[in-house]
Amino acid sequence: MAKRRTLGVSLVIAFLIALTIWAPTFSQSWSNQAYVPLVHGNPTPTPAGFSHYSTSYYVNPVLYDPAVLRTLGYNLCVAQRDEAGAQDDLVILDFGQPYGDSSNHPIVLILGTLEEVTMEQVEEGLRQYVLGYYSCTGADISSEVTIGAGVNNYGSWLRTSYNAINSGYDWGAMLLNVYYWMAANGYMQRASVYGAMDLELPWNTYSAMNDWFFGYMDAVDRMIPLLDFGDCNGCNTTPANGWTIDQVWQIKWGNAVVWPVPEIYNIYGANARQWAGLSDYSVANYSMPLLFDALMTQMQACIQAGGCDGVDNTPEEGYDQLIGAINDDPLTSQDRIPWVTDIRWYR
Amino acid sequence: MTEPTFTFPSGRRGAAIIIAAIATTVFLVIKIIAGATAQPASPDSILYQSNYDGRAWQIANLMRLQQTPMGATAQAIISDKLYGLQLWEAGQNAAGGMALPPVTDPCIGWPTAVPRDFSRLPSGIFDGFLSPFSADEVIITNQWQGMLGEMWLQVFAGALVSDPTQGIIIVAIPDSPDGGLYLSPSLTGALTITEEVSPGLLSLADEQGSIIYFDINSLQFASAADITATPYQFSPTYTPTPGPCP
Repeated sequence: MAKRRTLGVSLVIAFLIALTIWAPTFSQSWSNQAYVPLVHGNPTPTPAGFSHYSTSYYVNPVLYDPAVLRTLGYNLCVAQRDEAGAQDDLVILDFGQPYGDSSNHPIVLILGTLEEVTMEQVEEGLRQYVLGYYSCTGADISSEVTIGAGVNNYGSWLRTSYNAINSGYDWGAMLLNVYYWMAANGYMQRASVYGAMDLELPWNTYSAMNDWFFGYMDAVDRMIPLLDFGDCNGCNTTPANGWTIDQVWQIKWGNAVVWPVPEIYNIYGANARQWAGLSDYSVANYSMPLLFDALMTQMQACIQAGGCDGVDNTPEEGYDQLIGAINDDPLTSQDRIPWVTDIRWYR
Repeated sequence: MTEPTFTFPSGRRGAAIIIAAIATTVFLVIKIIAGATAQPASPDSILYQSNYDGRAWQIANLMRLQQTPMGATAQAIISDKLYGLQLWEAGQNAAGGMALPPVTDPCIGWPTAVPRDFSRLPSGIFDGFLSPFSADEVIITNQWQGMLGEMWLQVFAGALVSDPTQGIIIVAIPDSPDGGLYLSPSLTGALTITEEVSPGLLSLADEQGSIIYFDINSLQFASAADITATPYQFSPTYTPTPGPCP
């Protein structure tokens, strides 16, 4: 009888000890998973809401001026300094279309205007932006800017392998020069200069893009990330322009340097669903979702130029659409999207 | 032989065990509920301390991804992406130890502004170059650019993506809010600029081979006989972004 009682008491005590050990683990994992982006089979977390956006620029014949770029850097610094707390902004400078000069050396055509700009001129413009950004430092030494030096992927010139590889290589080499200059002078403390590309599927082929990235990575290895502020046309159905979904994935995520900055323009959420579709594909085939560190809208450019019927999301609408689309699926969900940038023309 | 049976302790000892079990269970249930609504503790805290720092968010989430089961290809991609970001992070930390020279006068070394001279840009009709408009909105076939009076402007021709039978013209003027998108009067496909007939008047062909005209001066489609004699007075709005230097 005494043995039975001891057994009974022992069972009750063992149950309580087990419960004590198990419960905090359960509690902690549950609470963590409410914020962790990658949780299999758990409720979708409530993500952070939209906070603020930065302004990116289409470089036009006015902005190409190094003095103007320096002023833009200076003005961003002033805006950050005058705002309470530490800021971290993403600014993409879209220089335009890769092309060749009269000797077929890679250059950039300023967007839409056909003005030729050399790699040296772009490099000088980026340095001036960084110098302008540092000119106002004052007491704010904790704010930061990440600058994406951008081109687009438009045009038949890039469909020649030689041109695409050279263009990618020269763009990377130019950025590497900026990197070493920043490292030598201490400017990396608050500024980063990455590559960027408005990589739109209808504008060029997988082969051309593969060549361009081959050249880019030959120049930078993995040192200079590249922000893809392009589209994902058809990524939730059939990708545009003959791309396969795996080719899209290879270029837009399965690549050592690329980070997506999706254009979320469509007011009905079509762009957000397309990018979420690519993340779904990534989970299904590579067991990892895309990480969306940023997104782009074009509200200001639309106000300036018009012609944006149905594709003029505000930054907050863009944020809500993308975070909503990826958080529909717990396997692709995120707690936040750190950077939101809205593009405009410099005038 | 009788089967062993469990007999719960009776008397004070049994009551004490029951009370202890109930109290412990209530305590644990409260703890579970409280824990579920609490902020996560370290090591997740980096996600919350770095709201303003996009790169820290990227690194934290890549490292988290690394801990999940995935194939060698995916692991290699994550490692490569981490490499670049951590390089910049290390550079930033190293630069934090460097004493940047104080900025006593931001105007020292400020470059001289390049005069705004649009005449240096190519003028005429051009094919095969990127327009500054989203490929989700419009298909651009070609463009004209040049001076009209004192104003430099561009005219793009094409069609709507949402309705490729709807031809369009887009007039873009860097110095002015004027211009915009103009729909062709008939649904005959994308427009192509074929000729600058006279200053301000462009001829256009649609996909059926018909010729129509666009009068930049009046910002409307026209027949050849409807040329506006008086150049349109675009409203310039350019104001340089003020910087710290005169």
